[in-house]
Amino acid sequence: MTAIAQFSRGIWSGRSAAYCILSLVSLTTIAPLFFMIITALKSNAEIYSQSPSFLPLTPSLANFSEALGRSNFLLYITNSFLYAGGATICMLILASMAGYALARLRFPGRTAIFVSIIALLLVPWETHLIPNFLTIRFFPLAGGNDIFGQGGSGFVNTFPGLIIPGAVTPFGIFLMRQFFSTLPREIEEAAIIDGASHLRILIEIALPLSRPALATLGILTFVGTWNAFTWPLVVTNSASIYTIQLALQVFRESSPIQDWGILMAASTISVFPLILVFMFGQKYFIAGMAYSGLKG
Amino acid sequence: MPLGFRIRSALSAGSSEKITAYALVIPALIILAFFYFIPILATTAFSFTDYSLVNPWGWVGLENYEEVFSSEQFRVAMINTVIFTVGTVVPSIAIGLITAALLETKIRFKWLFRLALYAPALTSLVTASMVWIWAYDYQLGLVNQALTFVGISGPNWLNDPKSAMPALIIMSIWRSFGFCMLVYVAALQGVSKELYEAAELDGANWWRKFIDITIPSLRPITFFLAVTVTVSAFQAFDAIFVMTKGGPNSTTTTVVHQIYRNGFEFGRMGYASAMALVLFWLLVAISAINAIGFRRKPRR
Repeated sequence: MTAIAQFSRGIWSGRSAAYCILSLVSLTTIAPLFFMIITALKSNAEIYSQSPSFLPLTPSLANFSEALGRSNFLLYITNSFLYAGGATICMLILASMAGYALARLRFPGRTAIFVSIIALLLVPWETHLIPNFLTIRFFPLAGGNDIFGQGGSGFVNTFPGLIIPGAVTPFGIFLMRQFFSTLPREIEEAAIIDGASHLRILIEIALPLSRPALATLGILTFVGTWNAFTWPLVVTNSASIYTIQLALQVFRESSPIQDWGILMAASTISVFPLILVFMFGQKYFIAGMAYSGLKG
Repeated sequence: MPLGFRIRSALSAGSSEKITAYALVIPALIILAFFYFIPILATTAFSFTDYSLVNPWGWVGLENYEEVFSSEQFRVAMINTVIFTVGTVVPSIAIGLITAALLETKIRFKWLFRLALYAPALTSLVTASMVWIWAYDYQLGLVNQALTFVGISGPNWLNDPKSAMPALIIMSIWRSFGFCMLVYVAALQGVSKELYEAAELDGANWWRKFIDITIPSLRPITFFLAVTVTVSAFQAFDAIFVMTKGGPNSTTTTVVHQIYRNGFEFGRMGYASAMALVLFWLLVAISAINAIGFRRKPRR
């Protein structure tokens, strides 16, 4: 072994290089987020001063109370919770129902349905963006529409309009179906001999055993919906139903002077629920990543 | 239990199984039919019309497609999309792989590093855009302040045609390598420890093990990531809409941004549908390459 190789081996076994590189990359990923938080803690005078200091000289939460109060971000966060929560509940119910039937029950058309769902996994969202908007806009008997979908505004600017198109996705069904397939059949067979119906087996046996899969799907759906931008942008135009993502964009575009203190405070608030979800649900997050492709 | 009863109950169980199955599947199928399946057919149909929300509409044959392929704006958008995609995919995978491999060494504070490295992937594209618009601010932004600190005067990032696309790509790498890292971390659990132990006996250092064992063992995962990140970068819209609106001078407009503009800003839903379908078939082709590549992977 050459001297150089021996030298570099010494460094690597000491792990100092690993710490060095990881710290450097972590610093780059954290710096913009750190900048967001310290800006939120500064007053406007400090943000726009000629010689700005890196850390806030007189940190205050004024921007946060301003964002939540006068700038209405409390409403937008509530909207986001309702949207993301509603979508997550719909997804968990519909995906586990369909996933269970596809994994465990025998019925004509099962294979055809499963294959079509796999095919739909490949379809990018912008392919159905325009028709979905039209379906929501001209939904019969909704929002003042007549039976032909004319005359009113349909589900535009409503929570059903936001939630229904994503109430269940091919990915959700696929994930639940794959998980149900891994459950041991013996437990169900015992229940069938005891005369339990399939519905009861699903509710009392399969679902309690599927908590990890439900947590994974729930977290992925909640985070995805919380972060959604394009669909809310297309299907809402009234401030009373804005989600936090939409409100951030509208606030930035509409404020006459760029009010970075309030904007960064609102941005910080928008990330907070996700950091919590990740910290408490890390293992489900990773399981979801694995499911989203590797076991396909 | 008498035998006859048992047979009868087994038979009725068969038909009740079917009824239960359909009752469980149909709610989901209705949603998929109306918001996935029929819309694909509808988009295909729209692409042959001059449909807009307000005017009466008629068939125009292949006119929309002719316009897509001859449009200068679409050509620019396609080139931008490819630049953005390549600029995002390669560094994201490389950084994701290296950080994942380093996280597998015996270091402390793993969870802290993992949280720090994954934090950008947790932000929404809108929040990330807000943070980066501010960080790219010409005078007060973090990026130019840091550059000034080391004696470089940074460009007016998002407002300069030369630096707008690189600025978007940097932000995109920042946000997407965390996903690659997590997938690699999960995949590394499956790489045989014996290979590393054997290599250590031969005196291989970390770098040799990384090149000779880690990278080859993870090849199928790398392929999977290349396709997944490519497909999502190809559909970039949120960050572009929020940060640059495709400007300055169309230097950052992308295909999906053009679809949105034509469909929802100009009301040209027929033309936008044709663009969406062109993109759709392009992505199907990328996924098909994926399927072939997966089939060809050697069994470990």
